[in-house]
Amino acid sequence: MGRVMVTGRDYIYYVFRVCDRADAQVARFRPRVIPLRMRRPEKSHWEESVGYARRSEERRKENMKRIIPREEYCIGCRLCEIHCIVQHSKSKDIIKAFKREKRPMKRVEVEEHGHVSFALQCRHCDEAPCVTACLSGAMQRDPESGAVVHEVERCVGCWTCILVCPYGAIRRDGGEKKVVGKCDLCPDLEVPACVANCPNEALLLVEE
Amino acid sequence: MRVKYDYAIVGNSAAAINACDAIRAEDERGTIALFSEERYRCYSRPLISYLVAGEIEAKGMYYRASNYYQKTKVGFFPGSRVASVDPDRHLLVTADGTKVRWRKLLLATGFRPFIPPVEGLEEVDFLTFVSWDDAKRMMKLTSKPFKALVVGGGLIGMKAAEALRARGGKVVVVERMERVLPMALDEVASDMVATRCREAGIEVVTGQSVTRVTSGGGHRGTACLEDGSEVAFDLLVMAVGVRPRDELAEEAGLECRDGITVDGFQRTSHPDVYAAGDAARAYDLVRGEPALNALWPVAALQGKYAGLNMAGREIPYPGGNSMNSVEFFGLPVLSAGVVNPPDGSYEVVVRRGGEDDYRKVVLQGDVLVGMLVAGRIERAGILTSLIQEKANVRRVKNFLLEEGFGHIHFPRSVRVERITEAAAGLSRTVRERAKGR
Repeated sequence: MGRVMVTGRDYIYYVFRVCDRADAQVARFRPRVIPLRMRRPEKSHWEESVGYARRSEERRKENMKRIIPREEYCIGCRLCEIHCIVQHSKSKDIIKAFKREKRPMKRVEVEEHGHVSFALQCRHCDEAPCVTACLSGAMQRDPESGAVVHEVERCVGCWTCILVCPYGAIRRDGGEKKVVGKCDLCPDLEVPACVANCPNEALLLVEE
Repeated sequence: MRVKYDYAIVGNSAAAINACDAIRAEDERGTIALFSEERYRCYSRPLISYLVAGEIEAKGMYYRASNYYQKTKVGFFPGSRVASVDPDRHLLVTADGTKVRWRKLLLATGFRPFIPPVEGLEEVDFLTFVSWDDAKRMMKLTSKPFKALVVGGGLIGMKAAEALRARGGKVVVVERMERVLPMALDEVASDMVATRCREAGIEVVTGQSVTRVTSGGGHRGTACLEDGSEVAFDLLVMAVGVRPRDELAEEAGLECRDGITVDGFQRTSHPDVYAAGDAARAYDLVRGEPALNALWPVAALQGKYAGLNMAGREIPYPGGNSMNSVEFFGLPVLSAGVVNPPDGSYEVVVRRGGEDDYRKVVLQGDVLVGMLVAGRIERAGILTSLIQEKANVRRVKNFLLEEGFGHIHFPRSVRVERITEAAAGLSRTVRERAKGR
């Protein structure tokens, strides 16, 4: 499993599926908590994702964090959006964020069509078109984390990044100042709010 | 001044700075010299309208931090114009006579404003609107009430008009074509923008050109239009268009054809000289041939690939395309690729959701070649990326104009690849196509 972080239910799947019989002893002593009954697909999106992440040739940063959505598990509850808003609010309190303060924009968006849904936020592309296109230099790659970071103070709201983002992950802030906003991978948190609060683990944090 | 550099760069804007970044990412040791005609650190030219309008302060103009040149280890020579270049001897001479030898040279000389021959124009102290100095002059002249005439209703002209209006003056825009922003927008969007501008107090005159200018002393004067009407002004802004600055390359004997000719690696006709930005005629992936796109994002991308290739990477430039993002008085409009199809072989689909909601896509067969979104601009970038990838959009055709159009409408395999393969930015498809070109 190497550098991939395995959390929660995935760990249990890992124990049951990946370990062969000789390791079943270990499995027996694990807490048998299976939160939701859900059929696991033959080849999971997650396995595919990890494969892609590994195959990609040009990786800028060794421990770059990426959030990978898993549409087989997403039920479109939009809790990720809510927790994203709370995390980026002034008080970081759900009631205050929604009822009393100026509500910040959501930086993750659930796309839904029929039975399929998934949450998508900034991909922090290796060759980020928004960084190249930014007129003011507000959109930059952070050399430390490898993430694409947006300096709100330098943003002038020219919308060029919205014009070039292949994921539609950059949005207008809608606040008093004309700026854009996007996912910042929650720099204050170990695990981004959307991943930590997804009830169904439809968002996975992968560290490459 | 050191006399020998590994890399010399002429210019100090989007292409030059992105080339510096790319060279540094590949080659930590190589020495870089950067020659700028202007005295400023690298600033963002498109932001001058924001500066004049008072939306940003002077410190917000800079494209990079103040210690950028030290940190990137670039020899920065402000105020030194490069007078001539000798590619065969790997030499350049600045205006003050300094000779500098280089191993690889990048010409990122940008553009100059095009001034049409108008009778009496030389007697008026008119302004252009392309540099920080222009912006400073404009701000100085507009501290008192004034009436401005802007000749040219393109991007520069309209931005100048908007900024002048924000400074409280009376503004008249004269555009030769039948509508404003004729290149960037289509008729409907042009109308929407013109209406907004008129509501905000800008007088927009289309289908007219200035035939004669009479000087009234200094910046003042009167302009005669084609229909015989006269417009008096305290300030005249010429914003008819821009031309690539390829004189330096031309004198050096490099191939130029209205812009410096470059190959797929941003190389000019001399193997050690590269060109990027508004001065270069580089590959346009929508038109499928070299074209001039005097746009900041395109210049930045060209600079990046020129830098990578100068440092020895051999990566083909994926190609740029025309794209514009404008906002006038609260109405944002984004467009990319072919907005005004030249003939009937294109399929055009539009949707008008309301007065300020307009979407349009232009298809050629099953390939998306152009888009325009006004009002609700979120997620328009997905369309831009489909244009750049030349993806077959047959399966998502019905959803293209929906506001919520996104990856959810893609076939699952495509979606998974795009979402998880985060190198997608200028995705593999684009890169592979560039290799095969």
